[in-house]
Amino acid sequence: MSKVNRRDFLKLGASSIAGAGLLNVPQTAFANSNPPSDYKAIVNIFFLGGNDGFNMVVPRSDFEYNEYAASRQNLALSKAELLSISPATSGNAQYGLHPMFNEVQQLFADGNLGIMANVGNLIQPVTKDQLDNPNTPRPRQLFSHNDQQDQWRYGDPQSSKSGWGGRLMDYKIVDNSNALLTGMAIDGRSKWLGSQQNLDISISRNGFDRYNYVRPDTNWTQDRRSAFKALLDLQYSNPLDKAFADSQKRTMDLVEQVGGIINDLPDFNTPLPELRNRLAESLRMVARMIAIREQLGMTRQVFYVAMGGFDTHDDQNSRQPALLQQISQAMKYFYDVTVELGVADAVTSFTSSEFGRTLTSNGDGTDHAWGNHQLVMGGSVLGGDIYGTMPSLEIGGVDDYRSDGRIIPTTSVEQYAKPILDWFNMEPSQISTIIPNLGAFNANAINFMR
Amino acid sequence: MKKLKLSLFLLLQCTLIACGGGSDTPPNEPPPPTGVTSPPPVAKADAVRLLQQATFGTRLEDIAQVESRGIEGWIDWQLNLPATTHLSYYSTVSMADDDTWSQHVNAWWMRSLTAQDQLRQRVAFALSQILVVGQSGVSSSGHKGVQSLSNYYDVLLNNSNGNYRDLIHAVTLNPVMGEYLSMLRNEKPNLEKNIRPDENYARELMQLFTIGLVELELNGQPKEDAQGNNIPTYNQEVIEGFAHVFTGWTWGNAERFKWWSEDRDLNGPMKAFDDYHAEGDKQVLNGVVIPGGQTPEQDLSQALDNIFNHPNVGPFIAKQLIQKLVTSNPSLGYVERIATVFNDNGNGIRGDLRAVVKAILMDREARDGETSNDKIFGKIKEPVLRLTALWRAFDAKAANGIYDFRWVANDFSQGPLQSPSVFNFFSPFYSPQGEFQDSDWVAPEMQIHSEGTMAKMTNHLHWRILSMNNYARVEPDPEDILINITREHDMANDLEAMLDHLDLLLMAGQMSAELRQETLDFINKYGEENFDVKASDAIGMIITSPEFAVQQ
Repeated sequence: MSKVNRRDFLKLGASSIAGAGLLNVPQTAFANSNPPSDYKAIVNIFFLGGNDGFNMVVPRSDFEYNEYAASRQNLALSKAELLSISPATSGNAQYGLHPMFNEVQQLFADGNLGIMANVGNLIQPVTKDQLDNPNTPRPRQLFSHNDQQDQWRYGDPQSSKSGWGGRLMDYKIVDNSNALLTGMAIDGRSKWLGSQQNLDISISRNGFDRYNYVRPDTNWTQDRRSAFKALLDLQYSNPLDKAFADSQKRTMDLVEQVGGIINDLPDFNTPLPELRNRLAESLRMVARMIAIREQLGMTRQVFYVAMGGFDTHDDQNSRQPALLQQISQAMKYFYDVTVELGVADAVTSFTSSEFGRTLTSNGDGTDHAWGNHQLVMGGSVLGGDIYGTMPSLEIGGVDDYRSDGRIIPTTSVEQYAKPILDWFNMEPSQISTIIPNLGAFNANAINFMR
Repeated sequence: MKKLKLSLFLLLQCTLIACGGGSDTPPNEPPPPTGVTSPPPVAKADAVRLLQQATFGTRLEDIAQVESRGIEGWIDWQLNLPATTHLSYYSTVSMADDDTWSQHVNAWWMRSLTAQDQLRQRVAFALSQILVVGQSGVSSSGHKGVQSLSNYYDVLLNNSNGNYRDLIHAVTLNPVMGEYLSMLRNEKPNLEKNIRPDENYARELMQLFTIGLVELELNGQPKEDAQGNNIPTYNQEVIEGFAHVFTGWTWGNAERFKWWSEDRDLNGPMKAFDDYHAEGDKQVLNGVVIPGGQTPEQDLSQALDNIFNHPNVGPFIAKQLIQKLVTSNPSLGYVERIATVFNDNGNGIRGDLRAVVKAILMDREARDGETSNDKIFGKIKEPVLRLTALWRAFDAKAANGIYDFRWVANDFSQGPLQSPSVFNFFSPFYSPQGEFQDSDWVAPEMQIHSEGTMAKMTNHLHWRILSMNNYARVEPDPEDILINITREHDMANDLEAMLDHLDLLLMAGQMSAELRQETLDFINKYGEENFDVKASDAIGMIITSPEFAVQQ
């Protein structure tokens, strides 16, 4: 049995670049053909575990606050500590932010950040009464972390083969000199970037590690390097061997062709938050990739970063403030870096999380729920406003799915994605492929982009 | 066995009729010693294949053990060995008061690399990635905290040849798991304060530790309803039912329910306080209702029985253990055969892990690499298992007698009890883009082999091989873990022989002609002599190759 087959060529779809010759850098000529003004990037910031958005954005007007406080009991923030915001088009109710959200408060006030109210995975718009009927369609495996994360990332109730970030990417790889770099996740592959034509690339937030013992630039490593690389170029008949070899080869190409450019970048003037902040470090890596967009010949990019720790079943009152402080400082840091790079209007960031959390408590924490508030940020965002519909926070109220504080989303993930896709210059026909279930909802209900 | 009986029979016949020369069937096998049945012979390469599946790495003496005991004899021997516990490690080392961070990892290296009960240790490692707790979930730092992690690992290890029902009981009441999935100090509902029981443990116990999300056939395939949809194993009512069951428990030495002390028992099983246990009826699986008014212990016992007897447990656990030990894409028949053993070990016992592990390794698919259903055989090795394989093959040691390598996850994206969440480092369902997805294959370990991690892994292995061997580092520091390549150095005047040896030891004789030739061509460039670098670079080429990364 031969493990290596030199005769077979890679079996790839006609349009696929997966596994093929990968990189095409440096591309200095592209600086002219793709002026910076045409550049756009989307950044999906995912809060893993289910962020408790109902303690992130909190009512301040008496009636709504009292309802909130009655529901949340020992998890409720006091009205006095809330940071005030003044949405441009709010209704009668007033809202405030968690006391650790100082930077977000400023971004909101400056018009660079908006709030998307009560969004979540849905199959169709539903009311509590409709959900009482077991035949009413609703997402599979509600309240399960990985299922709800996957559904948020797939953006397609019918399919689990690709993510909506990946399908978006497939339309835009033709615009880029380095198709492979169109979509990138930081520190872990993401199904959001899964696609039929491209790869769910993941790089480290700390940059690119050189292959020390098979380096290209030292004499003593050359023989080993040739041998090492020859093994990666073999046509393996076993798909497992091939998957490993392809990944190693791709990594080497990235390290040697992109890593050098990244490592030569001067530090940003904008300082990282003083408190150690992994989300900010991940966003710094995104900003570095954006900073070298012209050298790479990139005009459209899609990024995914994630932050864990939001599954606050225990000690929520002590754990959540630190989490929200990191979010707030990291988002402000990233926005400031995009200003520094001159791309604030060209970069739109939006937050995701698999679900919100129960308004009721389990003593000192919360459990898995459904609808949740999110944040959208960038110079092209119509910031300083709350979009969508704020739900009733009454236990057993009209928006409470099971009368224990699991709030039914009033906006779907598709409706949340739609304005971002429009801004990314996607055609309606493309949007219907990227988020095929948008038609089940009012497609134009939400628009938070300039 | 058949062959042996036949030759005995012939021998007897010949004796009786005084066979002379010219017989068609000369008795060319000597009779076995009375009362002893010698095992069927095992090819060395087959022994290494078994050892790759069942240990943390192959040493020459391990091959000899398998040869002398036979495949089945070796497995039985291993499963009968007493567990070399991780908690006992701490009595053999002195730890500075302020140097406790991740010491449980050092305990893990020592036991995983050197314990004789390799198979039990390997199964425990597999279980630690199914019944996951993460270091970050333990509130106590210091000696007690790290030792409680080792103690949790010992729960898995001690039950690795026991019964799955006992295992889930022990895991459920372990205080590390209690803290990690917040069953510890979970209390009954208080409607006035909008407090209801914590659902965390209830959910993950079912989703990840026992039955999974959807009903399964015996062969591990999801069942489908008339519309072709998967059938959920439980709904929110059932989650809430179990959440009520798991109320009232806290540390085993607690004086009251709402009690905390520096001296809380992080190792012993949790205990229950009746006053904090939900009194009412509890809806559990398959329409069963646990009646109200029982003790916490009664409720717990009935609830775990209810889960344990769900038909999913066999295929759900069988498939994951196969994936961790043998192959990522087992055939339906393989899963069904192992699930059948889980359901009944042949003596009417359900959940017998000893029988399950033995059946997994004895199965023809494991032994012959036979596949069906368009599956591919084998798996990407877990990153840390590539390092343990290196270290065992070349007898890695440090002068200070310990294996101090606690930051393993930085370079290998994986470390014992260091998962970032209860979903482990990688998902058993992960399928890379392209050919794998198109063919419905999974490659779980590929999830952590990304463009952000592979250079780190490769650098680390190169460093361990090329810089941290007994020739390259002549004046080592006490903590330096060095591989010993004297044996290979002494073989390097005959490179073909050295490569035969490495092919067997590291590749189970499966090295491709291309890998062999590339390695030879490369190390031949070192010219005459230079046996040390020829040896280390040959090992480096093999261990960082795509072929070594895959176990078949």
